[in-house]
Amino acid sequence: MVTGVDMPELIGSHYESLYRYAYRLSGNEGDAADLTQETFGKAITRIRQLRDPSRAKSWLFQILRNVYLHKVRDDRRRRVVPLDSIGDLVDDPPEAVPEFDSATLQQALNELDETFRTPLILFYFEEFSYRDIADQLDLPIGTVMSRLARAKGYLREKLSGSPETASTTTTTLDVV
Amino acid sequence: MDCNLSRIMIAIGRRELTVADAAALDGHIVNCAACAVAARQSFAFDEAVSRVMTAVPVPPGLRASLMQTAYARRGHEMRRKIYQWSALAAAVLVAIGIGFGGYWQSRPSLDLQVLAERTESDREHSEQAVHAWLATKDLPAQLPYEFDFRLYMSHGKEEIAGRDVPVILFAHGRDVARVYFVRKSQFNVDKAAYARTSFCTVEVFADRHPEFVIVVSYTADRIDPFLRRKAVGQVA
Repeated sequence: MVTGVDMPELIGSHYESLYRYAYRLSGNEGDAADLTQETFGKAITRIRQLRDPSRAKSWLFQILRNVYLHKVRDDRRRRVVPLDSIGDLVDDPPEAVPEFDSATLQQALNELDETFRTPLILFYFEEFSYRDIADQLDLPIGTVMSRLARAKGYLREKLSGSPETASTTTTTLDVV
Repeated sequence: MDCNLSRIMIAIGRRELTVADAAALDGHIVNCAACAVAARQSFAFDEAVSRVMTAVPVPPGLRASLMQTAYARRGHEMRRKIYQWSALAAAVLVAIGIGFGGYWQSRPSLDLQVLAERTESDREHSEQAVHAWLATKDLPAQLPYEFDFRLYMSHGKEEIAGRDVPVILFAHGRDVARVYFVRKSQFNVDKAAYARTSFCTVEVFADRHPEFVIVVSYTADRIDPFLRRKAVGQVA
């Protein structure tokens, strides 16, 4: 086992945030619990890959996302929100912060393609910087910033009840 | 700074900005009402989403389930490695035996006393490390029970109700025992008492130290499996 990395401590320190990430990715409790279990299961067998214990959280989040992507079929990962209709900058943000609850937020996330949903979720878990997100997703930081800007714009309009995102079409998502 | 750059920085988010950039943005929005409103709304929105994003209740039994699976998986991994190393060692021994018959005849005698002393040393080493840690953290030096440190797994801290609580972890098969050092100034421990669920027992020792309550939780029916045996049939 890698010096300084203890599995019980790893689980105790990160299982809650990992479960919450899994829940926001998958949208339901059962899948979230399964994803969390499988993530730690893989982490045990790959513990030697973790060379820097301070990066444990990012490492676990990466494993979880990969587990998620393997478990979910492509047609379930792809959503049909036409994000190409939202630019990188929102010119006129809503006058007030909309009120919304966890279920409303999850519904909005469920409608997003995974390529936009994951960076959005990671961004709002606060501990992750743009650089962390780019490293986790193996993307250029500029791509992360662009996807985040568009996803945040979508989220803001969706949570504000904007008519532009009230309905979905079958337009193919343009992934940058 | 102009409004275009200001809006870009607002969209990026305050925590991504360097100190200098954040100061420049603050300097701009002091003089620009439109950007000030945009910044306030954008940052407030981010805070609101972040709050709700992480407001996901975690199932109560998830941690115990993860620990159980982890121990089972680790046991499997250890056994697999032991089997691999045993097979390799056996192959090496056979090769030596076949290739060096004379050397095989002069094998050293296996001194079981040396193995026992080495195992004892490992146990004492972890016990010493834990006691050194207790002293470093100004925690109670005496545990409520005389735990068998061959079952020691780890020590560190766990977050409980937003506070870091020092803890020592022992494992016996699929059962685990934890020793928590709860600081009386951090928690209301007046009503803390013995508790038991289907799979777990919790004992509270409130009188062992003026500043700490020691809490022992374990998943076995009794604490005995985790304790050092003084003699055959007797426990500590």
